[in-house]
Amino acid sequence: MRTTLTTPSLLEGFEAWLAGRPERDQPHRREAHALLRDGGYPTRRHEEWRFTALGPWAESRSPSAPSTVATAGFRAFDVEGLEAIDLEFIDGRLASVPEIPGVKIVVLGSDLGPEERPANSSDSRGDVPALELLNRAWSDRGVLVEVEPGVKVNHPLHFRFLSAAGSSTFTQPRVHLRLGRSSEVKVLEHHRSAGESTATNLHFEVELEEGARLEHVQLTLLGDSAAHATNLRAEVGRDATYSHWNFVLGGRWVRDDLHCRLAGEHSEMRLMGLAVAGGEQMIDTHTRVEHGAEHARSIEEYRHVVDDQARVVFAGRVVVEAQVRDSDARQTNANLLLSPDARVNALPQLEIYNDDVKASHGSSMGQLDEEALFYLRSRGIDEATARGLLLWGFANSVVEQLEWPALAQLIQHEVQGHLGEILSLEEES
Amino acid sequence: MLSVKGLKASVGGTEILRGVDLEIRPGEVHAIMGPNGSGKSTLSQIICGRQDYDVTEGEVRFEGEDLLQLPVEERAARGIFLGFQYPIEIPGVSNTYFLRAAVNAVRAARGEEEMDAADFLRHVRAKAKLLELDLALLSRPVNVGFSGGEKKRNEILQMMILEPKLALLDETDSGLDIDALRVVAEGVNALRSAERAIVVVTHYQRLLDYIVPDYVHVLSAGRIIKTGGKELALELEERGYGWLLEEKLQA
Ligand SMILES: Nc1ncnc2c1ncn2[C@@H]1O[C@H](COP(=O)(O)OP(=O)(O)OP(=O)(O)O)[C@@H](O)[C@H]1O
Ligand SMILES: [Mg+2]
Repeated sequence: MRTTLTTPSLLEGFEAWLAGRPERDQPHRREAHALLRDGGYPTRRHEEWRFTALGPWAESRSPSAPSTVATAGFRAFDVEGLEAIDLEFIDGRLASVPEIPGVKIVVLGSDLGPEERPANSSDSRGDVPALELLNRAWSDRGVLVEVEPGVKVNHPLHFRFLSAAGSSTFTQPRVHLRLGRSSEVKVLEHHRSAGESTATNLHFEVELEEGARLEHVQLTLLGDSAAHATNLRAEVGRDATYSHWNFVLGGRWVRDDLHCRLAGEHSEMRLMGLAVAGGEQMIDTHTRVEHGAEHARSIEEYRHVVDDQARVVFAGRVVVEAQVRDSDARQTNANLLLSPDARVNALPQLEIYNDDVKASHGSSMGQLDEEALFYLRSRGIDEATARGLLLWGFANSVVEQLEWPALAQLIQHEVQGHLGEILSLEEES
Repeated sequence: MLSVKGLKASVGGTEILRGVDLEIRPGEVHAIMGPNGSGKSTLSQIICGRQDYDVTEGEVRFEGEDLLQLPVEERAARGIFLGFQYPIEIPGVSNTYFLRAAVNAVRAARGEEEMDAADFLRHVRAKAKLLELDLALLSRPVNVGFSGGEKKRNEILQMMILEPKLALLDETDSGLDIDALRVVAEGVNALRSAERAIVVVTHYQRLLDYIVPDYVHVLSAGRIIKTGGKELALELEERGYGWLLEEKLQA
């Protein structure tokens, strides 16, 4: 379903669009837009956008009104065996607000409300990712979810983001998730599309107060023509634990910027990722892990399987700040290239300003392990099946670590589907 | 059953096997001993199907068939099994899944039906229990994070499940504690039959107390320099390999 082009395109028609917004909301939107405009919409000249340009396809789009789709569209999101509390979004707008004991949910409309103003509106362009600026300038829908201190939410929260508005619009929702002291919750952030050429730029802000625990799974299962960006900002407080899982198993253009800060002592975070890309897919992930407090631990592991002409970018930056002692920061990135035209750009970056640190990073790029192939074949498994098994093992080594059985099963099923396609094509050729 | 004649093999121009002759008949147990680097693993790997070596002379026949022409998986289907000196880790693939894929592949190659999943699981568990293998290892990824001894026991588990005609066990005893050695040997002995043959590559006479061989061969610098009965292993244990080399030189 398409919105008519009476709304202006993102770059040109900002002021006209802004005039229709609440007044108190206007200054920070204008500021964000100015930073974006002056710096230019990201093109390949910008370091963070060396491999994908946002400008060409974003600029001509306009903010969308949510489409009206039948709620039947949400059935695709069902996860067998997963008992969850659903939050259903159509083009970023929450369809209905569930009642959850111990959890406050506030719908953010056009007026984002005083507490939703970006904390550092004086950030310079250099510090704020372009996607975030874009969202600050244009976002007019979203939700604030607050888990009260000490509350352990029994059921996972299932954020179902359905993108339905088509090729002329760009949806910019926001989610703020706050976990009070010692609270616990599991979140599934699930993206699917119902229309052609949908585009979404989600800003997801996560705060964990002292001792809170969050398991956050991002599952991107968009259609072949969809574009999607999640701009995640997470702050992990003292003794808090944050796990983020990023499974990209569909979408034409997917960009995730993860900006995660260990802000309190003894905090921990785990960033795990798996993408299986084929066709003309472009999957670009930028992560930034900041050690901003002592005795904190971070583990990051990203794996990519890349076939056909698909392209993957993984830029993983780890920063240990100067005053921060006793840090443990680990990053690994492994890539399997299955076709001569597949491309991966891996850019691990360690910035360590304090010597009291255990840090490691490793990146591997390659084909399947020949020794392992021989081992499997020596047990009677034919070569094609053995390759399939190794490929599966490579991807599954991420999934099997997810201690969320119903979800792991769904993801394994999706991964098997993708790999099955890859393998059957290989056999034909 | 297996007939190796005048086998010479090299890697990158360096000759490793310099004319090996070995005859193995059904029902027999052979032990191959010899100094480090003498070519024991190379010989086992070539029989199993490793292509990294250039076979420059000689032949290997299995039940009359030219083995060197067959891809590795077809050799497995014919009933050849190699217990690896250094078992390989396969991250992300569970041990049970792997075993099942192997059994079904071998069965399919023999024109047999797939094994029922539940029956298979029961079968695997029973064998694992015999080997005193922690059942949790069945659902873990193949060999990943297994201790040295667990890896070796896992090789024997695979052998017991696949029921090969010819099992080559390359130093399956190294890294095993005394109890594990006994358990593994019992597993191997359970497989002994008039139709099967077993070749154990080992450095230690102790294994041969449990798995009593019909023949003991000494491989040195790519040649079998002596063949004897089980008492040869005892002699080697006492005297080492030096005297054999001198004997060979004098001959
Ligand atoms: N792929 C290879 N490339 C180069 N050299 C090799 C290769 N495989 C074996 N060799 C060499 O061939 C010789 C025989 O090795 P092999 O592993 O067969 O010995 P082994 O008798 O099994 O020794 P060990 O008792 O230590 O296991 C060694 O010198 C080894 O370095
Ligand atoms: Mg060896």
